[in-house]
Amino acid sequence: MNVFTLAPSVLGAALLAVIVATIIIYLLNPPILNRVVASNLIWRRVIESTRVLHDRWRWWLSLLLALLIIIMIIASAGRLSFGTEGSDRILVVLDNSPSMAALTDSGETRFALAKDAAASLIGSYSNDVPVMIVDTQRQIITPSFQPSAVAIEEIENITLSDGLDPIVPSVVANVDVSEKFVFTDGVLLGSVPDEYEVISFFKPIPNIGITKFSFSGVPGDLSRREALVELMNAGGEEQVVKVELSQKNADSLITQIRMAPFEVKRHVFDASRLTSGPAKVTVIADNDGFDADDTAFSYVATKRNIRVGLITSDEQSSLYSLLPLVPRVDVTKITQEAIQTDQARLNFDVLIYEGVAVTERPKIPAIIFGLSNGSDGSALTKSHSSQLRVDKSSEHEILEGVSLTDLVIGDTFLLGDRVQGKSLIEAEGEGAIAVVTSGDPRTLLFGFNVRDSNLRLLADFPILLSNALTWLVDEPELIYAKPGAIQLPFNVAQVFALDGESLEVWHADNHAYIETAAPGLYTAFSSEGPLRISVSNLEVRYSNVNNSRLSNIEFSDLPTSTGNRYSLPLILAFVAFGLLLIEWGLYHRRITQ
Amino acid sequence: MSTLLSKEFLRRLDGISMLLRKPVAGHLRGQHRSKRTGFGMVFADYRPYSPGDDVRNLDWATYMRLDRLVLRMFEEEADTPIYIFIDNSASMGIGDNTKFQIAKKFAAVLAYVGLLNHDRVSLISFADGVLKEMPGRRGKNQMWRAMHFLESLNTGGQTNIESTFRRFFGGGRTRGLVFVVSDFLVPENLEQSFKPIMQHGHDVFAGHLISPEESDPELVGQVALLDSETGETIDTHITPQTLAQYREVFKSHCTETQQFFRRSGWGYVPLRSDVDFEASVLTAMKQEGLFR
Repeated sequence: MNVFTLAPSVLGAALLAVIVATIIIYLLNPPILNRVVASNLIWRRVIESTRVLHDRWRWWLSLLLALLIIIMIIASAGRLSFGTEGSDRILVVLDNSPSMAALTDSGETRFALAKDAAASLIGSYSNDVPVMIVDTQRQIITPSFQPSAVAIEEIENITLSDGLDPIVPSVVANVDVSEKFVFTDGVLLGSVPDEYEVISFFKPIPNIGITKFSFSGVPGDLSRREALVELMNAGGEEQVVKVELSQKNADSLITQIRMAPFEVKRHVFDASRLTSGPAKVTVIADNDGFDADDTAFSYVATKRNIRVGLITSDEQSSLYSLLPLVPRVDVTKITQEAIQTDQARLNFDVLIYEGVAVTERPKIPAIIFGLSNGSDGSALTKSHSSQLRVDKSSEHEILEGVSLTDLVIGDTFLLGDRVQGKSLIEAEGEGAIAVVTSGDPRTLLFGFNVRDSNLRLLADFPILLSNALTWLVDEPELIYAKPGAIQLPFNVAQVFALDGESLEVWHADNHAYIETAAPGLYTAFSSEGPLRISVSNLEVRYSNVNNSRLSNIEFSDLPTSTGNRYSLPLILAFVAFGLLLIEWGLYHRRITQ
Repeated sequence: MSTLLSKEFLRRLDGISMLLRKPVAGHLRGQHRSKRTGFGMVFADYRPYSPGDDVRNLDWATYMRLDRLVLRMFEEEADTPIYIFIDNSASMGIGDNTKFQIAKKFAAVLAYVGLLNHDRVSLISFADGVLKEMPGRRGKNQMWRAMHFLESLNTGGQTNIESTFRRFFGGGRTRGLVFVVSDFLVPENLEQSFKPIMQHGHDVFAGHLISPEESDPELVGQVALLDSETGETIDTHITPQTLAQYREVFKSHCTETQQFFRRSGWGYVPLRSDVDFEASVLTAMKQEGLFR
């Protein structure tokens, strides 16, 4: 109701009533008695002596009360005039972030209890009170006010989502409502503005969760692979956890790990005997109140032999004798002229140049030793040091398991900043002498020849070669993503879930995008080959279900029946009435004493 | 003779004489002790004879013993100037049986007794200064003039005792007996008001007029109190508690006034306008030791 929307006759009657009441009150006011006295000297002394403290305080108190009354009435009237609609509306924010899936002592999830409580709260209002429901995962796209019965149905339809960045839609910031409630456990939602009444559903629970799961090749051995599993104990009790790595039609790998409270621990399985295809890891603990992070999926990529073309000017090339010793490598020596044709290039997966001038960028992945030209084609500076010591300049996977401590280099071209790419090895005081470029195709560039260093004599050289070949040509193991929109590294693709269901793909900016609602394994097919996509919530934030900002409010009491709650204007009116009574009491006391 | 005093009361006054606490400084012969020595009844002192002295006062017995001429001295009885100040300010006219009527009656009594005692009686009406004056008169036959003067007075104006005394005594007046008949509702303190009299060494007697409207007012509720002299208004709410407090303050005002006159060695008599004047005034004056 708004006074400006009242009918003119009603408004006029109300104004008339106010005027009549004012006149009557004025007439009822006792007239002031004028009395001539001999002198006011005595009276002044009396009044001054009585007014000195008591009356001054009374005067100030009376003024204060009058001001408060005026403010209350104005505030009350203001609410009535401009915010009547907002004063009777409520906003309910329901946290449906993943941590709300944690089980409580009652056996129900925090989310289930929150939904019941929210429905109960809304049910305590009369049906004509408009209610806006908002969830933190944006399942309700356009929140709006609706009758409480409809709002309760809407709450029933809200489900948990896996997004780790819950958010209260900004649209509710400007919504004029009398009361705002948030039903949350405070884990992922974070701090809540003061104007919201928070109803907490947080209570610490034991939880063991998987926070990382990935496969990778064993450094230096292209035929082996290992699986990394990272676990987190998010509870306050020590637990013995059973970890099982399994694959369809294969025996599982099982281990037991003891985990201290709040400990994060990693375990590496030897997964060499696993065949390519989906794999699953599961953790089993005696006390675990959050199931969503107990299982994780990944994919074991296909491995194949690598065809290497060696272009060398050295008749006694050590690479030619060394490469056949690297697993999965077939090496063929060819001339530079022979590799110029497209047909010749199709016969190889990788080209290795040694001691020959390379004037143009190779068309397929390549390793170039003794690179003499910069990216702009100009000649590189040569260092003539007899014993140049080197060091790693990055933690690239090519250098995994490789030590450069004993590497000594004689003559080398200094790549420095003139060769674009990521510096891999730097010579002491001379800058980069090995660089990788991640463009298409990938290349690994050395400024020195194998014969100009003791590289061939080092035990780590085969590992370096193996790592380099794997990085250059192997099928990407997997790309990892979180639920939601996922960008694929190519333009056109078809994407299938593990059960064969096709996902909708849309394209923008030379990329394909898919939307995944839940964790799982997906495969994208394109002209560049298959790409495995692992969508999961493997993250500490996901498993850390006890990291709540409401840790001091465990299961706050639900608001009591709010159906008969007084609105703010009514409360203000009551306060104003109370103050009027006080003022009247003071006046009455003054005139009767 | 007058509407102020009844004949019966005047007859009672015929036998009254006025007693002064200090020797008077009159020039003419009267009934009061004078500081001067001369022809009187009461021996005062001796002094050596000098040519020209009245030989009738020579002490011949002493001459016989000492062979020296010694003159006997006597206290001379003289008249005294009596100054009767009547407060004419507006505050004196408030009330049913007004304070001003009582003031005039009291002044008439004083004048009558003074004239009977062959004193020089002056009547002065004042407010914020001397308004009207009857210069000093002697003899009973001047009583009609005094009564006529008193009956002609009216109230009005503000009270300023100090200004009145400064103007009246500033021109030099013979030291005498000063009567001040007033309600003493003055803004300044009485010490300041009576300072001019203190300097001249007059004997002072105060008649303090009190009306029941002042001592026990019947007011309650929201009242605008209009000061009869200044016209100033005080808007206040009078409660029984305020009234009780007023009575206390007024009582204390009367006590302070009385204490001031006592402390100064002067006479003081309260005159209530709600009490029969003729029945009470002589008793009060005798108690004060002024009338005999």
